[in-house]
Amino acid sequence: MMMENAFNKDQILIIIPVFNESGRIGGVVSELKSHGFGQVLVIDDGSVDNSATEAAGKGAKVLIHLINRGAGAATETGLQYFRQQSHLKLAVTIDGDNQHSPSDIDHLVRAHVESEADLTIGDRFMSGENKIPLSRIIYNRIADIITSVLSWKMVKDSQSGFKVWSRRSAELIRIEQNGYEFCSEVLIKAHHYKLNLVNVPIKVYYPKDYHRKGQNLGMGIRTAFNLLHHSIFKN
Amino acid sequence: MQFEVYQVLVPLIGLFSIGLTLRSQLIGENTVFETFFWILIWVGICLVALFPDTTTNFLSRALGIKDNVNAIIFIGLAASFFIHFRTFTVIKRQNRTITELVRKIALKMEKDKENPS
Repeated sequence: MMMENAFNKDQILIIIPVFNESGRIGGVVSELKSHGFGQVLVIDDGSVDNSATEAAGKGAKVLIHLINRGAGAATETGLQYFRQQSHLKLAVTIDGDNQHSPSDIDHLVRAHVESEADLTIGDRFMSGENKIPLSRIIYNRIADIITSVLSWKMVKDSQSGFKVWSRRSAELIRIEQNGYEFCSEVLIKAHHYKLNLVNVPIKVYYPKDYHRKGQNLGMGIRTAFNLLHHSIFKN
Repeated sequence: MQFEVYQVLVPLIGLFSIGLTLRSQLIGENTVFETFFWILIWVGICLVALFPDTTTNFLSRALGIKDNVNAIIFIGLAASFFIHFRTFTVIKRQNRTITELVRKIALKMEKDKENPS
C-alpha cells in the first residue's frame, strides 16, 4: 500500500521540539516543506536564540514554551496539539538539529501503514551504515537494557526521537517526563497498553558538535535514575 | 513494660505520615504502589520503635550486624524519610503544574493567533 493512497501528506503533522537550534531549524523546516509536508509544528522550548522566528519564517507553525521544560515536555505539547486537530491522521516526531533525514519519513510512514502499527520507531542501529559515536552507542545500549527491564519487553533504539504516532498511540500515551527520559517512558507505556510497535531503519547524521546537545553518558545516568525513580513511585 | 519517649514519638510521626499517604491516595496524587511502599516503610519504622529489642535483634541476626541500632538513628531515619517524601511530593506536583501551565499558554497563544477576537 502506497503512503499516498493511505494518507495525504497534509494529514501528517511533523512535530519538532527545539531548544536553541537557530541556524539549523530553518533548514530542517525547508527540507520538510520541499518533501511535501505542509503541516510542520515546531515547539520552541524556551530558546534564547532566533529558533522560533527562523522556523516561522520558513513556514512552520510555532508553539512557544515561555520557559525551558525539556524535550519530553515539548514533545507532549506537540502531541497535545495533534490530539486537538481531528483532521490529522498521523504525527511524526523528529529532532530539530538536522540529525534526521526528512526523506526517511516517507518510508517510515509507509512501514507504519503497511504493518498497521500504533507506534513506529526510526531505528538508527538497524541498517549498520550509520556512523554513530561510540559514546552514543554505549549510552543507547545501556538505555535499551534499562527500558527493556522496566517494560518487560526487549526494546531496540529506545532513545530514538524519530517516531510515527497513530492517533490511538497519541491518545493513550501521555508523556509525563519532562527530560530525555520521555523516550523510554513512551516505550514502557506503549508496551503497557499492548500497542503494536515497529522498528524501521533510518539514516542519522551526527555533526562535529553533536555532543553539544542531546543525550550523553552523564545525562544517561541522570535519565536512568529518573526512570527508576518514576517506576518506583509512579508506574 | 516501660516505654521511652522515642517509642511514643516515632509511632506518632509514623501514624501522621501514613495518614498523609492515605490522603494523597484518596485525592489521586499517589499510585497504589506508591501508597503501599510508604505505608510499608512507616509500619516498619513504627515496629522497630515499639519493639526495639526484638526487631533490632532480628535485623542484626538477619543482616549480620553485631550492634543493635539505637533509637536516635531510627528517629533520624524516620525524619529523613518524612522530609524526603514531602519534598519529593511537592517538587513533583510543582514541576507538573509548571509544565502544564507552560503548555496551556503555548496552546492558547496559538489558538488566539488563529482566532483573533
